[in-house]
Amino acid sequence: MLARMLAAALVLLAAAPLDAAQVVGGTLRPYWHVFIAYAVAWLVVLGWVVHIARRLGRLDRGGN
Amino acid sequence: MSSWWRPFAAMVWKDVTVELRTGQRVAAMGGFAVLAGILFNYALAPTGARPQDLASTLIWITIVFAGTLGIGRTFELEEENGAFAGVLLAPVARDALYLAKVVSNLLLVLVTLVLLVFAFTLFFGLDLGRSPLMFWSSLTLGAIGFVGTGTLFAAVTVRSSMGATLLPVLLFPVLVPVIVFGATSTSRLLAGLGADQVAGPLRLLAAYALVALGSGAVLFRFAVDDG
Amino acid sequence: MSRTSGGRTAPSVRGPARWAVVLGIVAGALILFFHWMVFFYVPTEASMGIVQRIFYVHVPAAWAGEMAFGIAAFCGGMYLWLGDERLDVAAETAAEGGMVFFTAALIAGPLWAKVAWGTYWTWEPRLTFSLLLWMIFLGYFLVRASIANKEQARRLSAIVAIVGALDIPLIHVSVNWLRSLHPEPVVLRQDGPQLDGRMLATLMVGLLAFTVVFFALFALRYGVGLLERTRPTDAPPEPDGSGLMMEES
Repeated sequence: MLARMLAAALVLLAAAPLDAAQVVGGTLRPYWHVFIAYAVAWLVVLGWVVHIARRLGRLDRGGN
Repeated sequence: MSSWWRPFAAMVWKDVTVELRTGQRVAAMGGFAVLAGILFNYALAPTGARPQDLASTLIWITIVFAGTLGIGRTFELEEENGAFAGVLLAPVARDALYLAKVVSNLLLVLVTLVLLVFAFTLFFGLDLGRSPLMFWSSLTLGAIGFVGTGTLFAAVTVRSSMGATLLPVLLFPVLVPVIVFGATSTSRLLAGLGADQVAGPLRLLAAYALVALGSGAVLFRFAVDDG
Repeated sequence: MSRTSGGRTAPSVRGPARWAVVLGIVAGALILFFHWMVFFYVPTEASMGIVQRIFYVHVPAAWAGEMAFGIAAFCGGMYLWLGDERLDVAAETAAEGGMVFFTAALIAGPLWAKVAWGTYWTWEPRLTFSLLLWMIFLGYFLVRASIANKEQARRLSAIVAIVGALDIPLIHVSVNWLRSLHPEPVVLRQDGPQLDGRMLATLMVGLLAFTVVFFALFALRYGVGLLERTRPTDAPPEPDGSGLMMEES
């Protein structure tokens, strides 16, 4: 998951200059918004995975 | 049929009698409403906004806050003395219990509303517009929906260790329709528009009241019965 | 009525576990493909530029959240009716997923709004609607966490979910009603008629990817939930009424 996000970040940085001409004002701010939006979305989902994994871990320790 | 109506009437009668003897909840809610009017006046004074322009907003916000305060105590008296457990042992239809609590809460909220509108009329020179009847139907329909949901959720929060502090968190998100349609209709009426201008929001308020009462009557048994 | 049956054993978890693995693999592939589409395949939207790409994460996340909350309310209602504890596990699982995906949507939405409309928050109906649903399910989890008697907590939280779901049509009408009073500026254009075929394809893959991710994690969390409910029955019964007991922690 982390690797996937890093890849997404790289992709973003690589893709940014290509499209810069079409962006109003040409600032980098919109890219950061996109990056944060995707990163946060997958981080929140990852948080749920961690939450589930911890519950499972607690079961393993308590169950047997 | 009488096995439905008799406990229903007895519960309403008991709640009204308790309230008439102690006057606690009316005093708290009415006092809250009038004092909120005074605080609004001072909070609005420096802004230059005229309170009568915001009257519809202030009425709905105040009644929801004051009402939540009172409704949160619906089951507390019974719960403290363990009396509700006794009531639940009796073979009484749960929807009769729920609707009895709704009626007694509704009476409380309506008394508070009368006090509130009276105070606002006095303080802010409120003019009820061309059709006071429509104005009161809007407030009453909104109150029915509000009390219908509030009474059900009060039965939920009475079991919670967070108590009545949990009630607004549960209640306010689902009260959005009441506020939107209620404030729309009353503000139009206060602005002097005719009854035909508020038929839409009033119908939606009535729909909300029906959904609230129906879901409450069906779901109440799951809130009070164990297992 | 619905006591935990001690007799339920491991095999009932095998189904969810298999689904979690299969769907997890599909979800991983879909996520990779989805990001390829978002960052390489789809053309940049003319008027809004790069930031429009937030759209492809925001809408699917909101969709997954709405679906999850729908499942939570439905399973909550069926739990009240049938009293089968597995339905409560499913409801709790779906509600957790709904919170997760709506949180993502609620963070992505304002980030988009900031660039597109110049402000983080507008009272755009769908944004407001998402926030209200999120708040309803915040109440759902507060009810579950603050009631010591778990049996009671399950029933009462189901009531909250059902009432929330029943009010959804009216909440929807009311938040849209507000918009008709205050006409919003350029709001709903970019997902309207001028949606290009490749954009539509990306959106559809996004919707599919988030749906599969949700169901993969749903299966996993549901299996864990089942194990949690079946294992502790060997232990002595937990004391009731001992104040605040966080069921979630």
